[in-house]
Amino acid sequence: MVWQKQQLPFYIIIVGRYSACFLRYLIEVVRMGERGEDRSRWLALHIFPHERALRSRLLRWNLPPDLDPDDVIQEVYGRIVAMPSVEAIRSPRAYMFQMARSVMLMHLRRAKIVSIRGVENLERFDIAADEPSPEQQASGRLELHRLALAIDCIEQPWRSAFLLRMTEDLTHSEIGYRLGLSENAVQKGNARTLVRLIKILGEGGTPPSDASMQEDGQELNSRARD
Amino acid sequence: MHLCRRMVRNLTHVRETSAAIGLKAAEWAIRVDHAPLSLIEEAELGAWLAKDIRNAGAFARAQAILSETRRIKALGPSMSPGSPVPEAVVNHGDFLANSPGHFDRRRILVGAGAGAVAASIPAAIWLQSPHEEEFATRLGEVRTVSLPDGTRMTLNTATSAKVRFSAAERWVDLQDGEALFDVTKDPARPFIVSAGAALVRVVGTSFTLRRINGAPVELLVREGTVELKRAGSNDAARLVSANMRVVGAGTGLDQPSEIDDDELQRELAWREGLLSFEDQTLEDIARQFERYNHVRIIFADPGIAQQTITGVFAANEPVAFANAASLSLGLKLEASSEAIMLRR
Repeated sequence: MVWQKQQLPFYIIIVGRYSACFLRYLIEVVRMGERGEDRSRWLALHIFPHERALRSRLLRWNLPPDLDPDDVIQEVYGRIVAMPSVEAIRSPRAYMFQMARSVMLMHLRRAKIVSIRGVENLERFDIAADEPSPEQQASGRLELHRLALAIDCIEQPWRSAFLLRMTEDLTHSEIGYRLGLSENAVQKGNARTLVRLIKILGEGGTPPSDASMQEDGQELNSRARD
Repeated sequence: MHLCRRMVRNLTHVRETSAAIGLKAAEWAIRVDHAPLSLIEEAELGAWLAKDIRNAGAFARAQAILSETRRIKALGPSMSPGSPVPEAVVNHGDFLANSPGHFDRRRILVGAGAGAVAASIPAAIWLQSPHEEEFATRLGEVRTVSLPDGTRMTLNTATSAKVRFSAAERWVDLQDGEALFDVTKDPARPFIVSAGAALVRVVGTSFTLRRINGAPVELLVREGTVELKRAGSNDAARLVSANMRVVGAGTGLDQPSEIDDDELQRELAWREGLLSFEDQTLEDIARQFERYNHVRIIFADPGIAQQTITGVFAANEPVAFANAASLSLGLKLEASSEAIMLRR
């Protein structure tokens, strides 16, 4: 679809409070152009597999009361996609963990009630030691059979509704016709299925490496000393 | 004053939960994937993405995983339900290391060895490119075929059906004629037969469906329960159980009527190449014979056509029937190459 020149001012008004990066991202994402698709693939291959490890890490930190691990992860993705290019990122995993730390810090500063323990955790944070071994890295990727097993967890008729859309590209209307569902039900159902699949697949990513276990032990000891 | 009011409005902005954002993001990802957005939808999406950095992040995340799920097509035609999973796909070590809690008993099965893996592979993994096949019978022909899932489909005379099996469903389009379905149970994939405006959906059962030009669609359930729906309508599906017949009527479907076992057997006699009638008019019988034969049975006057008869006849022998009818009703028979005439 052609991006109408007249539309831009409208968007600038809405986006006004945020940086110009957002505007660029909006244009890109709504167009779903080539770059948008490459970015999607990059996220799926290099960021998503590390969610599980990041979640374990986040649970060990003392997050402020208004921030849960999902909030942090969503914000990390938000910052990554706002970047014009991801080519410069050597280690996506390290970058992701770094972002999470930064998000935590920002919220702590804003909250004005800073947990001393929380700040300590961050300062001792050693990202370099956290790189997973190549074996761990390979096993975290979105293997096709894991995908099939995840889809098998979805009950009917939603499983068929999702598969008919993904593997045969039927419209929501056609799917509804076949399964005895309304078009709207198919759309909402597929969205719920997607949320569930993301949850199931996200929990099977690369496990936290052994180095992080050790590191926590050290933290406990130093706190005891104080 | 004006500035103060705006500040108050901002303060009362409620922060959405990550769960709510995750769902909204998935909804948008599904919409964007489905079809190009309208201008209004684009504006709506743009506004939502700009409102909170988490919205943009959740959206990108949902899109990324959605794209990945399309790759499941790649599991491809080499896999079929019975065959063991190729080594390249299964990686025992990897699976055991990463399996989260809810795969429970499947995890144990997979760990036990390649044989067990084949047994526990879920239906979703049988992602053959959709299996499509067309079947047709000639005039007077009756044929039983086996579908890829083991379902037996018996096609009656002059019947054509298109079968399309995929990972998500088992779909048959009854284009013309009559067929009996003995459906293998597979809760993972609904079995759907469409006959014009009628849509029948089952998990595993036995029923016939008739779709003949000029006559309303007719469904007969032999075993189990089927769901019957009018295609394109929002009415709830109707459940039709064994020994019930439903006939399509105009814009709706008739109430299901009960038929006893004897009548059910008569209706299915065609499987043996027979037609069985009980107190049916010669006219109705003649019309049935027309489905199986080129030779037509005609009557000298309407009075003859309305007489009734009971009996079992070979479907492809209209002359034999005409003979039997003339003998029992005291009529005369005149045969030519195109027609058999019954007269007084």
